[in-house]
Amino acid sequence: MSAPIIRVSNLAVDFASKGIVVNTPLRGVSFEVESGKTLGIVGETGCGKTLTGLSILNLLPPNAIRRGEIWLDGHGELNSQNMADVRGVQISFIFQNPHSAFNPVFTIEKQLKIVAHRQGLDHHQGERIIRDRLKEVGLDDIDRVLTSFPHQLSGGMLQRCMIAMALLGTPKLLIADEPTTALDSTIARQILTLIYNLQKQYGFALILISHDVGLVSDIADNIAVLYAGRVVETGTTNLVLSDPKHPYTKGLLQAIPSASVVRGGLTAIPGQVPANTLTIVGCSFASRCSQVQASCANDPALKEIAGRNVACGVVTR
Amino acid sequence: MKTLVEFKRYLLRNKLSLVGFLLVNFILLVALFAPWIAPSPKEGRGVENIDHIGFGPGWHHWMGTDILGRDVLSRVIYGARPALLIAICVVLVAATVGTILGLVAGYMGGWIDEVIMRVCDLFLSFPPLLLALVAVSLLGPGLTHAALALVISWWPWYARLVRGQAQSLKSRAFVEVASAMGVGTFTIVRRHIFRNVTTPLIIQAAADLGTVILAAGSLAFIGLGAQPPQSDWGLMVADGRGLVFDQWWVATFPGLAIFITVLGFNLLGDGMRDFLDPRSQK
Amino acid sequence: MSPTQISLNHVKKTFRTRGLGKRKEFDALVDLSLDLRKGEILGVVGESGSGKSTLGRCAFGIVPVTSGKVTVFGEDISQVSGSALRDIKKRMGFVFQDPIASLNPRMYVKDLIAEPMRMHQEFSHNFYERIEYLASRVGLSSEQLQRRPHELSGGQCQRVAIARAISTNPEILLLDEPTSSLDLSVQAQILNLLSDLRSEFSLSYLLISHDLDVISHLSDRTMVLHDGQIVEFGDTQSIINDPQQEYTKTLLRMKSGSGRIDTLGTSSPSLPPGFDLDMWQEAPLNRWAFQNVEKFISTQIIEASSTPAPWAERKQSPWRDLEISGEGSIGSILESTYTDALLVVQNGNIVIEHYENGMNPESKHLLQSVSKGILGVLYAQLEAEGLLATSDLIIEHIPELAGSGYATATISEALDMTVALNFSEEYHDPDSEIQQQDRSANWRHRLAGDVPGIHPFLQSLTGSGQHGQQFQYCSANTDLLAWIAERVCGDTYATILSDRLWKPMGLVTDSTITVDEFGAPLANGGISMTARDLARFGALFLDEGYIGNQAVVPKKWIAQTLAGASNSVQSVEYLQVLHPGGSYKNQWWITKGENQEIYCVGIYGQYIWIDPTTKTIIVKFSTLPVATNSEHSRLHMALFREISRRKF
Repeated sequence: MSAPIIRVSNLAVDFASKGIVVNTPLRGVSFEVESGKTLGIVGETGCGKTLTGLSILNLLPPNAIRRGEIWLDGHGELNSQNMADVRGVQISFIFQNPHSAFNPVFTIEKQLKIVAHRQGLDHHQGERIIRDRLKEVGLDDIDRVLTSFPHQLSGGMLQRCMIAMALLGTPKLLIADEPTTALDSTIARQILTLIYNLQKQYGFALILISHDVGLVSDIADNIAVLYAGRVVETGTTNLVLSDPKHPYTKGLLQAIPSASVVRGGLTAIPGQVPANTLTIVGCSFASRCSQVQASCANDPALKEIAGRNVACGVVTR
Repeated sequence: MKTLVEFKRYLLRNKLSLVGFLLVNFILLVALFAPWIAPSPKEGRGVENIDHIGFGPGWHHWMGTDILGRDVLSRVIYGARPALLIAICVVLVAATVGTILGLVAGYMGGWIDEVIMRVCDLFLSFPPLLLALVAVSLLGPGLTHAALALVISWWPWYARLVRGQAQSLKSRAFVEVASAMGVGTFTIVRRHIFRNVTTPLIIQAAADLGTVILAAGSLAFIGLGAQPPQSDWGLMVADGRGLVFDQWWVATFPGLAIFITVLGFNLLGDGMRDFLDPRSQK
Repeated sequence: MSPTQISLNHVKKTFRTRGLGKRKEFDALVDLSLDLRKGEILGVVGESGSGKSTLGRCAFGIVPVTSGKVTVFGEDISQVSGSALRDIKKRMGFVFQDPIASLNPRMYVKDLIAEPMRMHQEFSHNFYERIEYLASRVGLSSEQLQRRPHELSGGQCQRVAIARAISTNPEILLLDEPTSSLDLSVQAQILNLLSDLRSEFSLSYLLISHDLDVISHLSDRTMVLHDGQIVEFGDTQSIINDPQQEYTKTLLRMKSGSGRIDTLGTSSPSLPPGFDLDMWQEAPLNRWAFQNVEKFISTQIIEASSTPAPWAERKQSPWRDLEISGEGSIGSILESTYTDALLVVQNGNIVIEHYENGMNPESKHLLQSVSKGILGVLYAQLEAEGLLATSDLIIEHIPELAGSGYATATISEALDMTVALNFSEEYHDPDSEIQQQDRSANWRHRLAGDVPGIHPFLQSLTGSGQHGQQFQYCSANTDLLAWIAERVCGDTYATILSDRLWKPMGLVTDSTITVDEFGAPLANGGISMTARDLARFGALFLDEGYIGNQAVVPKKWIAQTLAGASNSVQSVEYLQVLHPGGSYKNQWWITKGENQEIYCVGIYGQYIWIDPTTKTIIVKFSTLPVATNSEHSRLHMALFREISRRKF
């Protein structure tokens, strides 16, 4: 077992208005990722997945207050002082929509060079490494790509450029927030494979954020299921997905359609994610849960059940 | 559209908008109740009083009297009426004409769009005041003609605004759905396009009110707007411009009135924009 | 056949792009024909730019076609106008991709739902009741009728759009990516709703999506569209289970959740020409496939030891021409049994090591059922650690099996194959449970009605009587035991094997095990490893559970296994011939022969053979043309017996 690259403990984010906390979309998330391993973070929209990724790099709106600890190998606890050394250098980010992540008025070359400069590479080194990376991410006509503006490239090619950009340094951690959601399924699979192969090559830890459980199961070693700003189930992907324990995880898996499920037989989770976590009393999932009991009025803590951690007061084995 | 309650809450938070709102309301009230507020309604309407020529500001005439002995305060109060009237009429008519043409151009597209927009370009290629000047000199001076001239130079701005909005709304999914369902063109334009351009229209109109007052004042100043003996701020400034050093109050107070009114409308216009269009908020 | 509601006849749609200078033409649809029958759901799947949205818009008369004919309810849509067109439109409904964008932000939900009714001037006395009814039918509250779209979630907006689409009691609905901007959990709600509405109002849907899962879940027939042309069109089940075109296969392979990237992913797995997932175990494909399982089935890696303990090698004396009594030379037997590898270890030294078919000492080969013996050894460890007792009831560890045939069986009954199950181990019968299991585990293409995944398959098995009475060889038992192992250890089977066997035993090469899409291992036959590493398991039996100075399994367990089970395997006739009085214990075959040999065997000729008396271990990998054949088995036994008794 290798040592963790990043350890996040009790990460919470409050949104405040005029000094009063109005919402706590992230309510104490803890996990760690080892080098070369992949953690998949799954959950519905509004569960705090993206916020988790952004708050690791402290890319939060000004009215947000971050609590908890983030420890990065070699840098200790991350705070506003050493964040500048880490952001984009030790930790890289891949965004969902490549078209909006690039500046439309600069060429790809210009934008990659700015990042290369940030990595402390001089002009020649930067140029060489940019070409190397673009080749590694599977782009052929590198000269054309470099001189193109973002709108001249397809979504898949742009996403490859973004991955190349993320790997211009040698990040210890790559955070990919829905990296393939905006792409066609065949392209998506190629991009995912690319990320996987690069991970084997560079050995970075990967946090893959997605609402698509299937996607996460294709690549993640471990999985953390997020609901209403908390981890409700976490463990090895194999264990959690083949034998989910938390009713929410079960619900997510049952919602995946396929030809083999009898038509109309999808078990949808009723209701929706609570919009404001401040009003939650007890288990946050209780209002949508089919196994709800009187004990759900108490806030369940993560505890080990059948080889993984589950936050549910009802499930015992 | 948001509610009045929200607007009130917004005003209370944004002091400058509140100032604008209060100023505009104050001027509206003044115009509405001019006969009851003015110390001398008769003089406010333009009747001369040769006994009082050349009085400076004092206890009886707070703003002094003009060369025909009329109480300047009364005239300033009465002057609010044509100013507001012309502003509201011009904006209303220009917006209506511009909106209709803009909707037609934007939604229909094709050669209709080309024709309407080229005409717009033609009008927009002149400085607005110059165009109005030409129009009034052709029509002859007078408040109505000045208003007409201002409409002529103002409608293309609205046409262009609405046309742009309509064009982008046309490709929005809900318009596509409506036309797929077989909803008639007129209904689509009215229900799905027009309703969604009202916000930018209101913002534009609120901002324009002040500008139109200024433009109308300018026309009057050069003798092409309101005619004597009507009490009009622009006219009054023109009357007093030769006496600025001897009887400064004659031109200063109507000028101040224009300034305050335009400021009020501009502050309110900015406030409306921030309130209605959340994207422009800092 | 049901009447046709929409038919497209050789439809072509060309878009012209206007720009400065040259005009470009682009064919969105090329000569396309289809018919939408009454009451059916027709799915159109394709990637962006395939023309699928244009197809929907042409079929519903939203955009005119360039050439060809679109007939809706028997009328040529390009020829009707005015009130006739309105009547046709009234019988259609539309739901588009982005629910929030397809609703006018300025209108209230109640007005949005009422819009088509207003348009068709359907003002009856119960107008408002109808709106309320529609809202409640799609799961909206009457309070939500008073809201505007931006005050609702994406899923709720799509419900509004659906209520609007069905408000005029239409017969056909165009659903263009109805769920693609929604979360999976919300998508499930909407798909269920669409499915219910279809049966309730006997609607036909033209369902357009890029998501094969959505299409296959709802549609009766599926059309695969690519570059404006039909790639494949037919019954959904047959398209999903038996795609004919390469493009369809790619779409199926590339969808998310289709298997771990680790192995399947490499952008184009180099499969040999004519490869077929249903045929790879047969000759001639198996000659390649048994060494390349990870190229077509998801696998997990069983990590080797960081301090490997290699075998001592010794110069080999010539063995090829040695005669096996009455059967010919060793060399000729190897040839007639399609040998891939033969490894003989005697007294700790490699005395014969021979590879064919492109193999070498580092090559992995599929073990088939020899994998079971490895699980047996693992269980010795787990029991020694106190994680379980073989007398435990299976459902004590896996309560999910309470409703299955395993409900009353114990672990030891599964280990010794005496669980009474309705399970046919007929390898070539498509209806047999063993083939069903292969399909559940992604060893073959799934068929309609198959259970996805190994664990759900195990839960579906039923009992056939009293357990513990009779020997019944049943591969599923091993997978069940692997499930228990994962449960008690809280780790993947691959990691458990690595931590508890591969690493302590000093195995040299990383091995693999096939897993289903949920990561559950096929422990009964999915391990691939090298001959040298496999032979180490023989060494455990010869050295009382030790490898070097490292105790791996208890001495007691070795003795117990070598002693065999009380009930022999007489029920199986040909086994009686192979080793009279033999039995099955802890996943190993016990010969009860004079040298107390024990062995494991896998179909198509995989063996590990241990002779404790002469301290000989034999590993043989083969790719026989058939799964089982008594003549091959007999020949192998004879070969192994003679080799072990010879002194090298």
